[in-house]
Amino acid sequence: MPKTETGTKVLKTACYLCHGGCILLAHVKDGKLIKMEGDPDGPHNRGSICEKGNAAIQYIYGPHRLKYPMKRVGKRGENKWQRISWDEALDTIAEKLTYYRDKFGGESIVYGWGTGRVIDNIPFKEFFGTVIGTPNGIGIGHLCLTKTRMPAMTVTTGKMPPPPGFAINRDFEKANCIVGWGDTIIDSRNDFMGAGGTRIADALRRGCKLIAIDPVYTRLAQKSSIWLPIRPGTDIALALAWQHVIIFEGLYDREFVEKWTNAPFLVRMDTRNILRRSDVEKGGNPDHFVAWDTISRAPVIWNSTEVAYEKPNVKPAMSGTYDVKLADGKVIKCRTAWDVIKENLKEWTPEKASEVTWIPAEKIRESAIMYATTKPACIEWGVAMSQCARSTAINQAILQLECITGNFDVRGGNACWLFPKFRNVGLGSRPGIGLPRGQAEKRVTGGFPFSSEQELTIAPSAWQPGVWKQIVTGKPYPIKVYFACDSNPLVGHEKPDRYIIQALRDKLEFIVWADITMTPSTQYADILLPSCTPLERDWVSNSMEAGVFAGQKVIEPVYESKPDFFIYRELTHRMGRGDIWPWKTEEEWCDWQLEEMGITFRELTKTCFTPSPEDWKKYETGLFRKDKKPGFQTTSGKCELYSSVLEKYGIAPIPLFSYPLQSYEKNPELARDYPLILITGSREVNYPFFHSQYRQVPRLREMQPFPMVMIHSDTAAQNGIKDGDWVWVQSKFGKSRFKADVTPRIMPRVVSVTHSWWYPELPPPYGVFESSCNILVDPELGADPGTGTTELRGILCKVYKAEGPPPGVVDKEQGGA
Amino acid sequence: MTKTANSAKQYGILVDMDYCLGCGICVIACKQENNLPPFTDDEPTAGGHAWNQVLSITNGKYPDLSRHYLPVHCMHCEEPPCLPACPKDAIYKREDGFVLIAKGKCNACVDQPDGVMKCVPACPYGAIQFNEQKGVVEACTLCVHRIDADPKAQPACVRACIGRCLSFGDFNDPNSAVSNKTKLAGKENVFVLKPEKNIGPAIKYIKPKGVSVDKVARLDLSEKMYGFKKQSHV
Repeated sequence: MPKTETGTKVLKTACYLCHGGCILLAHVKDGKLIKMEGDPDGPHNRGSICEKGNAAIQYIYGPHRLKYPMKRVGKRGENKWQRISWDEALDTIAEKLTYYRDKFGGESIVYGWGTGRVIDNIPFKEFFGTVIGTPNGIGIGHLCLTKTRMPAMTVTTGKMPPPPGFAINRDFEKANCIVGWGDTIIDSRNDFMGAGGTRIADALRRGCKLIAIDPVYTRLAQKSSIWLPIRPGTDIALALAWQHVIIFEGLYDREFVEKWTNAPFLVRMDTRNILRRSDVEKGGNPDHFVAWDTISRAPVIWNSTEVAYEKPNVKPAMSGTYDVKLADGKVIKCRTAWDVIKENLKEWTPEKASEVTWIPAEKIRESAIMYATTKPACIEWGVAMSQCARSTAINQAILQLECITGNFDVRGGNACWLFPKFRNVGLGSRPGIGLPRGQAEKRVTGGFPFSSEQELTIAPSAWQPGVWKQIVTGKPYPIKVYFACDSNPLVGHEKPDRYIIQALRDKLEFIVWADITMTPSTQYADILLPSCTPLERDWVSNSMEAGVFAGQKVIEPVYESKPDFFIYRELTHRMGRGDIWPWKTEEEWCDWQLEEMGITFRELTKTCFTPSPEDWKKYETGLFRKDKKPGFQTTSGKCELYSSVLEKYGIAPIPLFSYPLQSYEKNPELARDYPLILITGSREVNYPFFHSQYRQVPRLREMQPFPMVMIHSDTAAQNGIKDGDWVWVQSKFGKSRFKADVTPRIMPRVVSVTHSWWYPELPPPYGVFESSCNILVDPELGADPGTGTTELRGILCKVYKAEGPPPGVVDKEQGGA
Repeated sequence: MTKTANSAKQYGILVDMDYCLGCGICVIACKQENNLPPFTDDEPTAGGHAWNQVLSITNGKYPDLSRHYLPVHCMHCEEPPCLPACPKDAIYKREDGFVLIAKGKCNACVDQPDGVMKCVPACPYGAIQFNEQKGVVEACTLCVHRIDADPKAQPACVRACIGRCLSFGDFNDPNSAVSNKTKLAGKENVFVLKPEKNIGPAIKYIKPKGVSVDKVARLDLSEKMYGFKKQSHV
């Protein structure tokens, strides 16, 4: 441990104040954290540090920390608490959980998690699955990438063997072209998964081309070679136009498409379904497929189990219409999937896409060519692609672009990192760890296959809007208990002013909240447990980024806060299942997770990061499949450009364009009253927060004191709005107020509001619905048929001047209070 | 630009505008390092103190836009106009170029007949900040305490910078990082703010590629993003 003359210790640790990735140096004096700096040896941040890491001291020692376990003594939301001991808190929780589990079934208990400042929400899932037996975990999944990018990967390039590498990853370091698709990278990944800003600056230095796709002239757009100012919600049209240019101008990776994808498989023209072995052979395996062999001029079976054609020397036709005899003797016409894909793309010329997306056609063509011809290229796409009711199609379309350009799983492209031999915990990770039989079927899925079907999910969770509704209605079965682990649904979930507030205030019989600070949502707890920040505990994580991080405890937990490790350990033991949680200390647990890597936690804290082994084109070497055969872990073993799985669940097997659920084309009458397009949650006005977190940290809050609405100067003038005015933003579903950022940098017909806002400086409930983008949206407008994602962006709205800031909010420029 | 005789070294910062991402971490890192008074918790929106700020310059009409960022703080000028303005001799320039305010000498001109601070309006960059809690003026020290403790150290803003756009060093040393970067960029591409003042600011900027020096030197610096508190008396 290096020691400076003044008695200050400098400790290396990984940061987890967002999703981690940076290595920091914590300066500690007399047991107190006094300074945070970036570690020059940190492979991603290389000495830089973001504002969140920098301001960690104010977060840790701030007055909003939960200090002791407490129980509610007033009415819910009255902010009346009584300090209790950890023993009393844990005994009460164990007793209540046991009671409700035994009387109403595990499914009557719901657990929720956030983006993971406490990291351990993985064992949390283990505890609630195994000990409580509830299938109803609600996280941020359907608002985030886990329910959209991962399903796109599952159906297209397959589920990877555990622990999963994610198609969400990309290799900024070696890319020669980086596409930020609805993702500013600089603002939103300053730090997320490792210093995005640092990497973009590096990329610029080496001459990497940047393409920014955003209705806002973002920081990435400012640095880009090409900026595509896109109309919100029309990304599928752009993706299809890119595919159109790339395929029809012959810029695709022919070898990859022919050899590794299911493009040659035949599709029936009578039903428009993929031709299955069961169609042509009585009793044939429906998961085997058929191609047309140009050598034998006959159909040939693709055996998905063997990941091979059932004949040697097959040369499958990529194009053409063929007569195929079915098992019942009927002869039908079939075309190759490639032809069907091309047929769908035919109309999507840049000119047609331009009409829909409002991007000049020439820019669409130019950018498609730049992406397809600058190798390697990677695409980073943002949650806008998830927060809409078309998420399956758009995520699939983008992943297909990566595949047909040969940028999938190559250095500098979109990579599936292989994790080191890290031992994950979580459901199914060890014998005896998992849901009791019959419980998975009780999950509240909303009927969305990516929630309900095990084969489609990597991280199964319940459909959150459905859970909140079910808590209120009690149908089809009652849900009575909510246990939250660093989650803030009143701020972060859609339409919280309907079911969520009722559920928390009136319906749930027992609510436990483990969190770091008081929030609008924790106000409704019956028992509050103070969690530690990541800097107050030892942890390891293989979350997201390519490698394993070690976060070492740099200070002792403040007050009586405890690591969540302690909470789960105590609860498993108190409920008689200490066997599943044998580790006594965090370090012991970390050592166990690292054991197969041949390194101890203490050893790992010398660098705090160990990279994944480099391995590319794993479809060639068999590492993508459980049976180690070359190919993909999909139904067919091929990269499925034409998804047999989506087709099975009644979802379009190839991405089709549709307009946003509220749009000028679909709802011209509504558009007369609500003439503007609303986007929510864009991180454009200096964004020092992480979703609902850190509003109470002074140094971060002063970077963005108020929730903002970005409005184009012309639109503002038309509506009598000046820069700095408080403005009502109103949709069909509700209204909320924000402070105007009048700027030329946003598309004139679009307004963009800050997400997840609350005012920690106000008395509870902290102005939770005053400036909430989430009360402007409604999950009941509609959801994606596959993933259940809801229309959180691209809906119609209007803006008008407000009399001032929300009650109690002081804005010195504007008065108020 | 006049050359001062009393400054053998001239430490300063070179900003490469192409890589400034406008993130504002330089401001927040400075606040941590120099322990600048945060605003009080019961009024978190009041705005705290900062010794630096990031300006943004946006030009054009949607969608034909350009935008650049400029971190601005005390320029540690070769001939600092604040120095002679101070009636208390509290401001001094060290041999190595640092322009500093002596602790204990400044009283924010409370004893002056008009009670008006003299240095604040003298600075053409608005870089001198009044700290009402301490009753003194303050400005960027280029983290002189770090540099004095370790000659290889960097100011906190340079160290934290996400885009790696800041370099620190002695402009008079031909082998320093800032001199090397100046050579690499071409002297003609390096500019200072308000050159007409002829005071030799030691915070210099490499202009963004594809934009003429002429254009950037005349930038409208009115659009503040984050940093410096608004001062009514400036």
